[in-house]
Amino acid sequence: MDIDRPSDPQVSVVSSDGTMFHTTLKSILLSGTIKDMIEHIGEGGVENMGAIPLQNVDSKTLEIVIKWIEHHKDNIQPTSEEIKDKTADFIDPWDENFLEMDLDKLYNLITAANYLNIPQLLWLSTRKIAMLIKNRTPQEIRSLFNIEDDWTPQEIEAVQKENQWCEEK
Amino acid sequence: MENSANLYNLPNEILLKIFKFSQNHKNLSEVCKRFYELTTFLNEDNLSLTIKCKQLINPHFDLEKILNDSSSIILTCNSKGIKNFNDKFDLFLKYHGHKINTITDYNQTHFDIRKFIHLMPNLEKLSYKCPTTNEDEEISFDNFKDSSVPLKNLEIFNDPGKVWTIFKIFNIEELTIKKKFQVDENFLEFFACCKNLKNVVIEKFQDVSSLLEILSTKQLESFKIIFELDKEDDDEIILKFLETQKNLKSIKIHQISDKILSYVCKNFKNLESLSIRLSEDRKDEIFLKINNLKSLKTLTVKAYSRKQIDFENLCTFSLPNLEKLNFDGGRFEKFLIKKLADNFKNIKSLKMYATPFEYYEILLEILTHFNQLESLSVSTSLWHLVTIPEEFFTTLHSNPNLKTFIYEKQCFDKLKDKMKLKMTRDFPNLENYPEEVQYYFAPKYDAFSLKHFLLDLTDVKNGNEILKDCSVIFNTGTGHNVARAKRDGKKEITIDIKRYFYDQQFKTILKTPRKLKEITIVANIQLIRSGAVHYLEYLKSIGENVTSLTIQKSRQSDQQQSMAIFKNMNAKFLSKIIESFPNLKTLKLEISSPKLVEKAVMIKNTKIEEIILIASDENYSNRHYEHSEYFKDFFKHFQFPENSLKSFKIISESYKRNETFDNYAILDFLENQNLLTEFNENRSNEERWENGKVKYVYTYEALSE
Repeated sequence: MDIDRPSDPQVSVVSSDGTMFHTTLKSILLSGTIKDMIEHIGEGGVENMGAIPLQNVDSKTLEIVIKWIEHHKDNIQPTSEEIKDKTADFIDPWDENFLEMDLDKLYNLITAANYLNIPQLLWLSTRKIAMLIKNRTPQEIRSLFNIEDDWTPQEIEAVQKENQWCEEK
Repeated sequence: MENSANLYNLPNEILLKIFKFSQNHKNLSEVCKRFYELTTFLNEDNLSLTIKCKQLINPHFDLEKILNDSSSIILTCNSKGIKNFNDKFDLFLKYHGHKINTITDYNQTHFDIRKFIHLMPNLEKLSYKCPTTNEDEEISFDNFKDSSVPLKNLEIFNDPGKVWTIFKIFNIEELTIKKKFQVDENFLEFFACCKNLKNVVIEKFQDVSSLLEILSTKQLESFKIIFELDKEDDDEIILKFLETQKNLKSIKIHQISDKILSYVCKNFKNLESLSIRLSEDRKDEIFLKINNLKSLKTLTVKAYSRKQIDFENLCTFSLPNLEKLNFDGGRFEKFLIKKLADNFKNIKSLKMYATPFEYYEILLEILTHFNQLESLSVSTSLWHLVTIPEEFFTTLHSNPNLKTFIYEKQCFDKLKDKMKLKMTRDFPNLENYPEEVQYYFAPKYDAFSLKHFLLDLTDVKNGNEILKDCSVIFNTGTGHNVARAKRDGKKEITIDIKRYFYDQQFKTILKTPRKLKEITIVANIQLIRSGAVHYLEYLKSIGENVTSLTIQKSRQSDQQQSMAIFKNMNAKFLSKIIESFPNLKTLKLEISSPKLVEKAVMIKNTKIEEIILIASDENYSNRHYEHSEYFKDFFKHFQFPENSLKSFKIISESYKRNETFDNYAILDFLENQNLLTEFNENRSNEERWENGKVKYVYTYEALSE
């Protein structure tokens, strides 16, 4: 180890609305996007690089993201490829609790996790939405997520007829 | 303020991630139009279906069936590492030798054609590598002496020396020489007998003059010289040879000098095919002389990279008969495609190698402007390989003429199945696919995805002559091969049922083939029993239209999967399966083991007209049961409906020659059941080549009068 440098240097990030957050290099490297940025800075650049601007993430969401990455900084994170084979059955109770938030926050978290390329966080947050959808009728899904019904009666009838094929008895 | 954080506002890629958690996409698809569209994409990563095309032979094919069905075989034979090759080959030829018309025999030396040629009475083309022989060894001519083999096309890989003379009995019309050899007495003796020699290809030769001097005595139709000619002396020799030739229709000269090209363009006005590699130091005006060859149907031009092919001038040539155009080397600009297509309206075949820089744009231009194209092959250099984008497929022009399409495989590697299906649809008559068209379907599918996939497949198959006979196999037991289609000439869906069939998902998937008339159940019934209720319910739901039912054991060589289907099985359950098909007319059962455990049951299907019982030895197993025991046991446990039965057939297929079955048991059975009171019986024996062995097939058939 390089004894002149701290083992986990501090890194600063700035949200789209100008708020600065401080976290550790180890935590922030869970973001594939930031990892790529840092790798491009080159030798010895981390301490001197200044705050990293994140134009697509607001401060409320960035705070949530930082809370999550700091909690998981010591865990081995699955890659995007590994995530594909993951089953939805079990998740860490801490994460379950962490994701207890209103829908607006959840949408923003999903968008941020996608932009920052944090596969595990994206997986957890999209799974959360999927669990909300589960076992709901089309009308219930529309109401819950405020989605407009753009089918004409004839169209929906045709789709339903088509779907009879895979209905369970 | 409008709430921008809405599920609907999330990008497609994220919505798809959310939807993928769902096992049932039905409700999602009904929420709104966008969700409906998105759910149809969910299947794409996972579908696994293999459509094999006519000409491809690969492990999924039943080789035995191909050998038996094909009228001609191209044999590529490598005897290395095969024990007792000669004996096995001899046996193989006994059954299939008459179908062999071509032998390509590049890499082995142990297989001596002289020993086998009499077993291939229809051999027309032979690529021959002479076995290494001791100079003093006496060459046997025994099998050649009275041969009526119609060998016309001979390709020689090494100097045959004395062996030349054995070929003199054939009426060789096309001769290809791949390696240098001496024009000696043996060759002259062979050559003197080639009365009808028309085509000569020379790939490697040192002393051209002696060979061309001899060839000058013949009037050839096609002359190809493929090795490097760089001496002026050679030019003179070739010119001298060309002066003797009046009938040449096809010329190929690897590195043609300005002098020879000028001569050819001036003197061979009836030339139909010209293939040249242009020299680096050529004068520009020489290329323009090709425009004199008004009869040209095929033009192949290769170029050095430093000196480009003059494509702009080529676009102005007036060659009204040109149908095939091949380029190799040189940079080809996208804007030239239209010019080329406008100028050569009859082009049916186009090949471009290492040429285009804008790979997919050029491909698209070609497919847009060359409307008559039957064959297209475009490659590019490694540096210009790009993944073909989806726009390529959305803007693709359909071309029903296109039969062959060879493209850079890497560029199409990441293609989605939907795109591949579209391509298959746009080129309905494509015969030679560059690779098998594959669709992957992982175990985590859902009924909704499968439905869309099958609808697409049906759509493709309906418009595609070549694929229309595809069948689909749902193999629920193995990971990646969950669903695959294979070409086996039957319009049927084979359901390969393994241990997962009782799964709820599987149950829904099985609802697919509602309108099937023929159904094959490939099954280990012992496993099926654990989900019997679901299974019977399913069969009833699809069974009404089925008139033909086959129940057979799995053909896979995995012993566990191939467990006998009637081993320790419940006869009542089998009868229930059969009864799920109330309109059944033909019942075909493969039985394997004499261990039925329950009392006799009555099969109540009153419309059954034809019953076929088969007992067949497994290839991997060395055990041979007495098939008559199988049948006897079967008869003990089943009673068939009276009156309707018109045909009853028993087939025993055994690797053991003496296998017979007990006719008395059959007659007893028929009598006991009051079946076929008045019938005619037929018996026949047949031998079939299967899995490198002879299979003896005994058939007993009773037909009502």
